[in-house]
Amino acid sequence: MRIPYSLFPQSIPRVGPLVDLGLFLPNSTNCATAVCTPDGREWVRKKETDSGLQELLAEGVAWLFAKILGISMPEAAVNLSSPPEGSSWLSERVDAVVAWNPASADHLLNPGEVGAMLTLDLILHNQDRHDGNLLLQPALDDLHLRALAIDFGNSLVGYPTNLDQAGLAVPSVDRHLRGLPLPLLQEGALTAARTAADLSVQEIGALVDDPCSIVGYGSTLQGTMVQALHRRCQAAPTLLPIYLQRLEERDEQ
Amino acid sequence: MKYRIVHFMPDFVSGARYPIAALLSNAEGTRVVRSTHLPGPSCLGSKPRAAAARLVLESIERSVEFERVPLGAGPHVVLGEIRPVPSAVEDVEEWLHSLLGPSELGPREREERSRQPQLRSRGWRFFESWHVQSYVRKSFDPARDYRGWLADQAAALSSITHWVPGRERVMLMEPIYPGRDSLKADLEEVGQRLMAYHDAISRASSSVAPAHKELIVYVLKGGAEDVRLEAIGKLEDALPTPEFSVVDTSNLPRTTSFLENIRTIGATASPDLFTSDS
Repeated sequence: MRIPYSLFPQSIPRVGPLVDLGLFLPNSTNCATAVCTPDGREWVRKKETDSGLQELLAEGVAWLFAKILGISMPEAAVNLSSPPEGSSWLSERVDAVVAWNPASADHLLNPGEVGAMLTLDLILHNQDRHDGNLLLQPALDDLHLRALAIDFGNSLVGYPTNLDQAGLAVPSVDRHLRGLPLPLLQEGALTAARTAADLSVQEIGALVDDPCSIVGYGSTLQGTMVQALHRRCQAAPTLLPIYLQRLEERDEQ
Repeated sequence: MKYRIVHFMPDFVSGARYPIAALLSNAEGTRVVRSTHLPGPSCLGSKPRAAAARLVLESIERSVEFERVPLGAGPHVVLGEIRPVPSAVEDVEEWLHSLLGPSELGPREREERSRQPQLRSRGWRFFESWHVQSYVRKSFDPARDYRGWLADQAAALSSITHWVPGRERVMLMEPIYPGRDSLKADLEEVGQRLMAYHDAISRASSSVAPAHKELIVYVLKGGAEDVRLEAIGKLEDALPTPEFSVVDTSNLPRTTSFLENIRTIGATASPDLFTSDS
């Protein structure tokens, strides 16, 4: 029986106020900083003023899609501040993680979720899946690692008109991380593609509504995004083999 | 010549940092000098954190950069200030080790280190990940397994780490992990063990012997690229085909073929070929 998607989160939690911990995070290419909230939770913060509204929108849409597709991501929230600082995207700090390393490819506990992540990258047209954007968390030892996807901020979905113009284009794999155990990921990727293809226009509209309202996008841009995403979701099972094939060929180079 | 310390920072709030290595840069390039002992669970607060520190170090060794944290190092890495190596220092590595902490392990650290994954566990995890563990047996006992086909020679043979029994074929397999400190000794031990089996197999005259015997070293992913390539080269020199096979598991087509072989052979196994505890 099909899971009613209304059971999944359709909005992004709001948190605040934030305490800046005065720490620029290593590997940050977009000015991510460490902050904490009064409840003691630690977050990685990306400010709208540094990264732009589009990145905040892309992160929000990706996070809500990830819940439906069963992809592990850190918990997330937004902090709605007033100008000039603007809003911030917050990704909760995950304890004891390292970036993707091909040497760990045979130690994944959730390869299906990594496959689903590839499907989401395909749908949102994300070309920014480098080593630092797939985290590995040891479960007791370094032979059992849970993968967590982070940072969909540079996905084309942040630019609805561009996503619409991209049609059914498959993202480039030129800068994609290497060494994924693709045969182990395929089943999860295909399951996620089928799940996405099953989403109706209304369900996609409900998913993107909150992120669009956070960044102040009106009904026209939101409508463009929904139509573009619906097309890409429906085509995901067809596009996925092409995407995986390109990843495999790139790894063989 | 200049250096900088690589710190592992487990959390943002406390800001505590633990030195795990040093980067040493000179005209020839940059290299990593590992701390003699990495901070363990009791120091960092949990086993996953200690495991993460080990993995971070491997990432840094994979893509050595001096000026900035490599993209693949993850969020727990902080680089210290760039400093010149004092001109009076004669043995730079020894000096860096002294900066990184005591060279002798304490009792607790020795115990923690002994709990790190062993070679056989790493090998078994590979088979688990690729869903072939139901075909693979642990520890081939030459005195009893495969109907005791090598029993006459067993006194001169130690056990084989992993094996796959089949109706007419058997795969005897040893793992190598290039990221281990003891790699050199591991290579020698595995080479000698498989050579001993090769000799024993050629002398065995049992009627219950499998028609085809495969002696395989499978090299797990990990370790610096030049180290693993050198290890594979040494194995291929010492254990020539067709008597032996060296499987580089970072080569997907080769790995796929290896796994298919395991499935094909393992699917023909019957319970009388192995002892219950193997």
